Amino acid sequence: MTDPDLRDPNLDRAYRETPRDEPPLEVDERIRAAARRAVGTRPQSLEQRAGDERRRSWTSRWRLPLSVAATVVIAATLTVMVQEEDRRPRDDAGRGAVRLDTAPREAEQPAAPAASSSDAAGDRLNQLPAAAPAQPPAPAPAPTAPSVQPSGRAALKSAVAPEVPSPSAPAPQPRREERAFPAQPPAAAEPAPAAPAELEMRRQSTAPAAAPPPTASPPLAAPAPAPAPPPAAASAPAPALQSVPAPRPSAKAIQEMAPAGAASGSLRRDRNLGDRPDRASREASTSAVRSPEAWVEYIRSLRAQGRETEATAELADLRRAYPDFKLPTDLGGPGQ
Amino acid sequence: MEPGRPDEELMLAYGAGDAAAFDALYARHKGAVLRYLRRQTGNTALAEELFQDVWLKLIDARAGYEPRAKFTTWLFTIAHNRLMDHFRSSARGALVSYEDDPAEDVPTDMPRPDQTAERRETAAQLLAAIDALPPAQREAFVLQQEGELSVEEIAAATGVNRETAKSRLRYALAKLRATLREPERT
Repeated sequence: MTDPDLRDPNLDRAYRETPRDEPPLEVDERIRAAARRAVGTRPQSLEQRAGDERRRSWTSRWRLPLSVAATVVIAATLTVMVQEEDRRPRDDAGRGAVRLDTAPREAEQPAAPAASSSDAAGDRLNQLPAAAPAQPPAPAPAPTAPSVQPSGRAALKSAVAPEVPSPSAPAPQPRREERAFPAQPPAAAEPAPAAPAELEMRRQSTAPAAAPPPTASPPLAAPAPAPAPPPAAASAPAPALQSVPAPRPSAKAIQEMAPAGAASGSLRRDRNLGDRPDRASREASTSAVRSPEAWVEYIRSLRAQGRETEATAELADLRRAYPDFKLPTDLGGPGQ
Repeated sequence: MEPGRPDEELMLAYGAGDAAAFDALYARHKGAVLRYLRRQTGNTALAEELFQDVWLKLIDARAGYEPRAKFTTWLFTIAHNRLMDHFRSSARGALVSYEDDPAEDVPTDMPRPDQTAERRETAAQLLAAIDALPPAQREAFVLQQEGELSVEEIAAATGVNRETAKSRLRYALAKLRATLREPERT
């Protein structure tokens, strides 16, 4: 590029000693002003420029941390919102599941999607009364299912309807629900007098894991991996409930079964859930899965057990859910 | 000032409307351009006038700037062209002396620095020797010193081929070396 003999260090040094002339300030200002005019910016005084420089340095210094902080706040807010959103339908679904999986639960069968996904579900199932009988799932779809809100419907589907567990279906078993259901005594300690024959029938319809005697049944701890075809399973003995696959009854069957399954666990669940703040959604879910007639039966069974308080609460719920429904005379109505 | 940014990037930024980028460029190169013009014209007032013209031309050309060469090459090309325009339109006849490159014409009336002179005096002597150089050789040397341009870049800035630029620079250096050595010999 440049020959060595085209550069003389002595000359370079000597030239650097020459005066370094600079243009006068007014020439500087004139040229700078022209440059700013050309790009449409206002000429600035030195003070203004210094202030701008300070502001620019402040913004450039804080730009990154502020951006990161804002991103974190937004992400956290979104996460909380999404979790709240997830929890709400799950609560609804949980309510539905509580009602709907009453039969499987009472049939010593956990709700499969609930049990298959989380420890919470397992914990909850641990608290289920072990001696409740099962009822074979009815093939008819739930007539009230379409009226359920989308999120509730999804939960309903996962909790009740599908014969084959859907891998994509979420397990509607939040921790909150777990807290809402304190440990239940075994059904033997608090027998469900509602329907012994039905209990027997449900037990027969239980999956290969058809239950051993309720008193001997260990609590359900393991999630049920897959539903078993009830007829084939009826005769197959099950070593323990942990390994019992949970057949899921259809929505209609559950609607019919839910009030009849007036087991203590169910009652306590309902009562506990009634204390929740999201009562409206619970009621919506409840009314979506239970017909008034079934509800009446359920209330009657509560009364038959002497649980007046719960029966009254359920009656109030029924009235709220079905304001047009004519209550039978034994429940305080003029009769249907 | 934006010390870390290359000239080319600053010029592009100015072309995109960033006035601060121009300020940085101007602060970086104003002295070199002014000294180049002053050496070539020998007149401070004229040099300042041409200096303003050079920067105004740069401002006008901001939108079409493409960093195909070093920014300083482009800047000194503008300065050289403005200088040529001035010489053409003036009666000084400097253009003739640019073309009439007296390669072997070592100036005889070049001031000889005093042996006991301080370095400042040496610098002054050097300036005098530079002023005594033929304009084309002087331009080549000043562009090398002020613009930090290579032979190729000097050629590009002054519109001549590489060999011509190299020849001019070599002669200029020889004369200046001789000027600086002469006091030692005497």
